[in-house]
Amino acid sequence: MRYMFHKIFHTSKGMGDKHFGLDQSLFILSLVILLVTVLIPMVMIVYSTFFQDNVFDWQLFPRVVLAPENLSAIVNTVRISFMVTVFGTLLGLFYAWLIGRSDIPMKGVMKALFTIPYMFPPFFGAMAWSLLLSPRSGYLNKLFMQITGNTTSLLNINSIAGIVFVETCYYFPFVFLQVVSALERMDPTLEESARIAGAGQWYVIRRITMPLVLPAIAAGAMLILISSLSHFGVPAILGFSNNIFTLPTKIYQLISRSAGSFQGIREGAALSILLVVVVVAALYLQKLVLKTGHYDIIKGKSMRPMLIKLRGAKIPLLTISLISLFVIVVVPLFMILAVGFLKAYGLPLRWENLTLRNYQYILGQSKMVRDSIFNSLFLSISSGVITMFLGVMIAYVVIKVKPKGKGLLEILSLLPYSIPGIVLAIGVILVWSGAFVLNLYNTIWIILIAYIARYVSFAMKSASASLEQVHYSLEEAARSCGATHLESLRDITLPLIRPGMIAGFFLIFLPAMRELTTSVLLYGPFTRTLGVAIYAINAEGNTVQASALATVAILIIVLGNLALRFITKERKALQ
Amino acid sequence: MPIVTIKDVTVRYGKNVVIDKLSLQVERGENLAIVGPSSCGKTTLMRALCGFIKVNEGEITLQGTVVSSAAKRVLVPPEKRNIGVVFQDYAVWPHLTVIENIMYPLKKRRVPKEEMRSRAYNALAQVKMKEFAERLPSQLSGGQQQRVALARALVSSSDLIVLDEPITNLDAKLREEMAYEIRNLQRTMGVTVIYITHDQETAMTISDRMVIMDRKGYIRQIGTPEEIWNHPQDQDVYKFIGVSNFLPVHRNGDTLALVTTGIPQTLPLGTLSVDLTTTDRMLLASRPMDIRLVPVVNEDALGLIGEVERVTYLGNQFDYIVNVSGHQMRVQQDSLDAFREGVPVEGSRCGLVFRNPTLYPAV
Repeated sequence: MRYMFHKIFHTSKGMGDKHFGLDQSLFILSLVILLVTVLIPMVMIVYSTFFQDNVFDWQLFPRVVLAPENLSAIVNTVRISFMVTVFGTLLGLFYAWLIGRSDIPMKGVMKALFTIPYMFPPFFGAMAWSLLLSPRSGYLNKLFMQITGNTTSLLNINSIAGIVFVETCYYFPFVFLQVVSALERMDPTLEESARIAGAGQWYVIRRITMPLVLPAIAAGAMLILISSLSHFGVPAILGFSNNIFTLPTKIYQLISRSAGSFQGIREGAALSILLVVVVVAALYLQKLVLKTGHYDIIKGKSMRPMLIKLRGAKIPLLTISLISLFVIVVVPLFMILAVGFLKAYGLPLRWENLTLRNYQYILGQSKMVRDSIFNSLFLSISSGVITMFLGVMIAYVVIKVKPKGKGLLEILSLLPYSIPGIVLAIGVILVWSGAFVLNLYNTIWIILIAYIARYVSFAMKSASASLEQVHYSLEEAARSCGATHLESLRDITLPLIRPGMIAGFFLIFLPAMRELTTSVLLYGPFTRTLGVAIYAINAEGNTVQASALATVAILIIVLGNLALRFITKERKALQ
Repeated sequence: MPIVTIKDVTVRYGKNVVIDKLSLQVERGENLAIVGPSSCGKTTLMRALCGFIKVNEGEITLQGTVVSSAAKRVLVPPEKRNIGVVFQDYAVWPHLTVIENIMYPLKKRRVPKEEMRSRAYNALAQVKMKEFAERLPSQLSGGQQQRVALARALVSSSDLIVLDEPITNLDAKLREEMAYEIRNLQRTMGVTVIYITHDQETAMTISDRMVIMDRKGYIRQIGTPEEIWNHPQDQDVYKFIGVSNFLPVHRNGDTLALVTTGIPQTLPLGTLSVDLTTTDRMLLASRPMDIRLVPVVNEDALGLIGEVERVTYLGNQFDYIVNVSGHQMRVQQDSLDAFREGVPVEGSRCGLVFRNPTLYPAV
């Protein structure tokens, strides 16, 4: 094969052909794959919005965007994301400061609790909270009505406030993790010298610490904003029943209501463009914010900062943070677990009401559920493996080969990061349902393609990180020892980044295992995924079975996380 | 026939010319050191020779075969050049044991298993690392990893080995030891060694022939260490290869007059060869060890007189700063001699006698 490349590039490039043959073909292959999986779907969205049967049609876009129900979806999306961002940032900052800078006890426990929302899909949280707070049947509301004799419920989770609350619970760790790591890497002498110069505690926080961690806060806040803008699961579960729509759920509704007709897809595509515009605007905002606040004072090495003594406030603050963490993290988990064992939703949580029947049903009797588990396992493992190798290839080209078009490759591979899953799904439908040669609609392959496009950014980022560690000379040493370029990759580079690749695999496997947003538009009669199955069972009102299946998903995710942790730990020990 | 012939080679990175029309021949079995300040293009030269980068102009011939040529559109890949390389950062593969590292080049050349093992262990014995065969590189010190890299290069090629700044990362004692070993290996095995370094001292001790490169990537001088030390081509080479003093002078009849704003002084031409037609300014170059301090007998006699400004005891020698009519000179003296002749006192005046100084035109 190498010799074939020699020939091709010998004629086209002349000098340097033999050395750059493999590199060149890797570059072209990466580019083609990214064009097909990422760029063409996006182009197709724009094309089908503005062209009907190959005739230019500009009327659809303004009509869809200006339809009153869509306008209200836009308003809801922006309102919800804005509130989630504000509350999530405040919550994240509060915990970050407590853990990074104060002498509050039990930091280890709290840190461990913070990582849990990271692992589970927010729509599990939405399910759990609606178990507690749905207007008529929620356990907490029923309790409230029993005690007070009121006929109106205490709180209604099926509202904008409810959606904001659940999303905040799941997205605040973005800010928390960013800020905590910035605080830990900040040079403590910067704060100390201000104290020595006579500045008070509060002054130091306001004028020294805050400006220094501002870039971290901005980065975390923007992550929340973008995630919330494109989020599907929570508003889908909590909003549908009350006719509260956001852009992603509206797009879903447009397409599922039209039962796959092309007009419905076109309308969805038009709304997708709008959603992408909003996300890109948010990203642009992030760039502006980060540009103005770039400090090099935060260093890579960790130092022990001076901790602020909370004194009398210690116990109240500890109580507040433990209770809030308990509510945010433990309660929803417990609810899903408990309800999964109930004979029927609404029964009190007592021993005599518990049963294993739900598990028997979902794991034994329901073929749909069993299929969905296998589908998800197949999709997560295969997309994990394929995407990881794709990420390694792209990262290799970008970092080591550095061809002229490397910027394009980088942009294309990081693009899916900012494309909402639901938009990606529409693009994939437009490309792979017969528009070009292949019709993969209703097959598992169309979901696989969507997953690959969706997770290629993760893979590329994680592969880049490990490839940066492999110095050029290691590969060159192999070349001078008689290895061909391909052999040097196989014998030296790949083994050296293997731990990073395994970690990268899990970083794709875990979110893919619980994926809902893209699969919900792409699944066919026999290609439901785990996320879709849970969502569908829940939507049908079989709450107990949905909870049982969610418990199974949680179990798989926990096992995957343990495996990931084990691998990364082993890797650290090796270094 | 030379083993390596580099002819008019130019290498550019974009518009930046790193090597400009460089020509060099390496004889079979010799130990050649390429010396130059950092970023003078010597590593680029090595990478072009090994085939990691192409040449923009010129030609490189290895054992009679053209391996890199801009005009002929030839670029033989690194794996077909049969050069053993020891990289600056050793490039010992961290996921393979020491012996696996060394066996790798043999595996790639499809050497039978039995022979592979025995040759690898042989090379390991040559660098005195036999007992570390099953270790992982992370369990070795820098010096030991260096030896592994050297052994790997030795099994990789029995003809030509290129070492890029190999021992500069080691401490002084290990460096000396390693330099000796490389020299020894080269003599017993007859392999050609190209040794790239910015450290002219090690290059002197290790090589048969030295190539002095300057910051712009030009070759300034090629010669044996003795030739280079005794007859540096120009002022820059003189300065590059050791601590040096330069006194500005101009010819005045049969004497050289010191250029100074202070007390005028002259010294005899002696054995110095001077172009008698010129009255241009020149530089009198000397090494600290080649200047002798003598008591002043006659203030008016020919010869330079200076004031001892600083005396530093360095153990095996004394280091003096002597002010000669406003010019500061470094002078060094063997401690034993100093004690025998009496150590000059700071502030005292003494005469300076030069042992084989060199004159360069002043630029």
